[in-house]
Parts: sequence; structure tokens; C-alpha cells
Amino acid sequence: MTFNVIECATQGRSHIKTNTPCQDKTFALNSNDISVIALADGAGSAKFSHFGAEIATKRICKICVEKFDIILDDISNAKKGILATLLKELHSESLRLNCEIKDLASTLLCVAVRGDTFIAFHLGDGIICALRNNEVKMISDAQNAEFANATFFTTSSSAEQKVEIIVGEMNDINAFAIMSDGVAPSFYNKNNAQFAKALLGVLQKSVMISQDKMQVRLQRSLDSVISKMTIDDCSIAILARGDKFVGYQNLTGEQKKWLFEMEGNSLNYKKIRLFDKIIMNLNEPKEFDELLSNLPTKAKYLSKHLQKLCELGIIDFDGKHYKAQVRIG
Amino acid sequence: MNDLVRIEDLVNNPTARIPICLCLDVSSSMGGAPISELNEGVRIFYDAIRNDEMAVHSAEICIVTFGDKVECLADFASLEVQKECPTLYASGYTPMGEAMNLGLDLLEKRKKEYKSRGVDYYQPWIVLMTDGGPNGDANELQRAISRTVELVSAKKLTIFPIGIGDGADMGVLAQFSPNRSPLKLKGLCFNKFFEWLSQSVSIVSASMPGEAVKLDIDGIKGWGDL
Repeated sequence: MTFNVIECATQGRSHIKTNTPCQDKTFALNSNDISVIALADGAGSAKFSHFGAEIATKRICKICVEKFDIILDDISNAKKGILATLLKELHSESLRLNCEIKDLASTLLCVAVRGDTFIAFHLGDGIICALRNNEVKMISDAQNAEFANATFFTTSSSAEQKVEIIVGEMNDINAFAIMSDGVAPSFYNKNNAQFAKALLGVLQKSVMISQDKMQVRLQRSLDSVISKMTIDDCSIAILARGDKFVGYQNLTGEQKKWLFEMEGNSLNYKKIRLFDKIIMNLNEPKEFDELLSNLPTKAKYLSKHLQKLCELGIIDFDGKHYKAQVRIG
Repeated sequence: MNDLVRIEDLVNNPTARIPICLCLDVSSSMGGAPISELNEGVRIFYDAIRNDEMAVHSAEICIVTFGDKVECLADFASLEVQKECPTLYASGYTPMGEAMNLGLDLLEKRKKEYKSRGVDYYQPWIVLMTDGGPNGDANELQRAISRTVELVSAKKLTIFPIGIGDGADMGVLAQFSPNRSPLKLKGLCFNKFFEWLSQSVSIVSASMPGEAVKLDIDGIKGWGDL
């Protein structure tokens, strides 16, 4: 199983204003045939919560890799064990920083996958969701107290009662996303319990396009679009099954239209056919002139199309050669 | 470069709301300068919230008055919906318990609406202001006190009980507030109180999950005495 891992975080407007560090942290680990992503949102009122969030994400990833089977065997005991381990490490950090343990409070979300099985761990707000059969489905919704500024943290006395561990089978799941409460309101409509079209696109592309390209594009969207919708820090981590991509040549016209982010309802077959030829030709790296000689188009149009395909992350340019970034077959 | 995520493809969840109920004494003893100053204070409150980029979308104000009758002059709504600030007129008695029960009923109704529509909300606030002692139904008063104390003790409500002038029954106000003593307004400093209240709403509206909201206690000295 090959996973693309994308992790992005950005400082919220309110923290930029007060010169407070970004308290959202993400981490990923791949070991023992287990792939894990984790995300923690440090408590706004806790002065060192950015340290606490970082410790929590790293530790939960390590626990999942080392104790996957133990968690599966006894979820109830696993909750206790994981929280005790986290608190022990947070306690050590509090001694180092000369602060109280509650100063390191954060939420914690995590997804770990091994073979056909996944484990999702959720404490506090934020969302865990999955791409299944080309639809985004909720795995675990925010666990908030009644009021908007109240949630549960790693250091909360009620953490053990509030933490959720969900075990499931991968079946048709092609990707997971975990997001903080800075991002969730942009991607999930609480009123009708529907996910945004934008998230479906992000997850589908995370399956198809190389993680490096997606990392750059998603970080830019987080910085320039999603963070503008909130004053809070924003973060998201994605675990996408790159091996599930059927290959470019097996995509339908509609799927290609969506991949190329073409506007309008009708399919522009002429443009899609040209893109097909460009991408197929770039299964192997080629210089511009060589590519041009293979294609029925003028240099200025080819240059424009190559630029767009680069921007979409579908092809790459290393300064000399162009190369497709999606698998062809 | 093309944006991976476009604003038009995101969802737009409503801003988390801060429900605030002003439960105001408009009995005949409030006639003259007190009611004029109270009207001015409420107007200042409305203006301050309207001019705050965050609070205007989050604050939902409800005004319940008690005097001739117990009346809801403005049900919970943001100031984008409430275009006008209601004018208060003084007359009648002081049915405080009935008014508080109405305020609490409206609050419960609004919270149900928030929940059914997926709207987040902060801990609600009730401001109880009076210049006298309650003279409505004693059972209603006791019921209002019990309901308020239960909610405040469970951290589901914040109450600001405020006495106006020497005639205010501070003992009854204290019964409504298990955690903090009622405050007495300095003279007729309604303006300063409502300025402080609007600033407190602003602090809450700009707060984030997990952030303990600290009210400006020092600021109270500008308008209130213990």
C-alpha cells in the first residue's frame, strides 16, 4: 500500500496580530507497514500549547506504529494507556519549561493504517473524514462541550471519557483527512452535514498527484484562501492511497475535466485531447522542442498549456525537461 | 497559479453566537433621568456592537422589560436583523421574577434553534438591572431564582445583577448570583456599564476554542461598586 502524505499548518490572523506561535501542529510517520498522520490544536489559553501539540502528535504516531495490535485488541485499555503515556511526556515537558501541565493542553486527532485496517483516534474538536467511493464521509465529528469556546484536551480530567478510538476496514477508502477547527468550518457544513466540494477535490487529487506537488498547492490554499475565512490557526493532514489511482489513461472525460479544473458544464474535447497527448508524451522526460515536434500545436499554445499543467501539479519542469507527475497506466 | 481550493467551493458556516439578554426594570420609579440614561446606555451598547467587525455577527441581543407588564421588546437576533434600538418607557411595578422567567424561556428557545441549525454558541449572558425590589408573584420570583442559580452553577449562564440607586434590593439580586456579588451602578453610569459590556462581548467574539475568556474586572470600577 503506497500512501501520499500531505501536512499543512498556518498561523491564524489573531495569532499573527498578537505574535503568538501557530498552535496547530501536524506529524506523520511510516514504519512497520503502518502509515500514521496526526494533528493537534493547542489550547488558546495555554501558553505553551504549541509545544504540547507537537509532543502529542509525535507521541501518538509512535504509539500507533509500535502498538497497533495492542490498540486493536483492547480499545478501552488503549485509551487509558495512550493518555497516560501522553500525560507522562507532557509532565516531563512541563518540568523542562517550568510550567503547569495544563499549559501544554491540546486536542489530538490521528489516523493509522495497516493493510486493510485503520485506527482513528479523536480527542476534542476538529474532524476526521475519509474519501470513500468518491464521496467524503465523516469518520469522527468534533467533540465539543455545549459552548463554542469549550472543548476537550489531552490534559482535561475528562479526556478518557471523551476520547474516541474508531477501528474500521479500509474497503473502498482511498484517503483520510484530519483537520483542526480552523479548517473544519470551511470544509464541513454543520447544518446539512455535508462536506464542501473543495475537500472532495483536494482528496481526489491527493490520490492522483505526487505528494510534493500537493503539499505545495494545499499549503498555498491554506495560506491564501482557507485562513482568510477564520482568525484561528489552520491545519490539515491527509493520508491518500497513491496506489489506488487507476492511471491517467483510464480516466473518463469528466474526471479529466475535473482534474484540469475546467470551468463550465460541457466538455472541451479538443482541449482534453491535446492535454492527453501532452501528458502521454511526458511519461518520459522531454525538452520543449522535442515535445513540440510530437504535437499538432504551435509553440505559444504549447507553452501556455504546459504552464497550466505545471500549475495543476500534473506535470513538472526541472528547468530543462518536462515530466508527467501522474501515473499514465 | 490556479488555486487548489477556491472560496466559492467552501462552505460558509454561521458565526458562533453570543446570546445576551438584558432584563431591565422599567417600573415607574425609573421615570425621569434614570430611564433617559438607561435608554442612552442601551443605544450606546447597540452602536458599539454594530461598529465591531466581529461582535456584530456574533452578538444576539434580547431585551425583556418589567414594569406595567413583562414584555419582550426585542427577541434574540443579531444587530444585522435588529435595525432599531427599542425605546424604554417607565411605568408600573417590578415583576422581576416573571421577567427573568421570560428571559430564560426565550434563551432556552434560542439555544434549541441554534442546535437544530448547527450554529455554535458561547455561554449566554443575562444582565438584570433594577432600582427596586420585586413585587410580582413570589412563586415566579422563586422559580426564576432557582432556574438562574442552577444554570449559573452548571456554568451554563453568566449573570450580571446590577442595582440602580439606594432603593435597589441587593439581597434579591444576590440570590440570583451564586458566584459573584451583585454590583451597584455608580450614580447613573449606564453609559459606562454598556460600554464595558460591549467591550466584553468583543473579547468573547474574538476568542477561540479552548481560550478561557477573562472579563475586564478592573474596567468594572469605572461604573460599579460592590
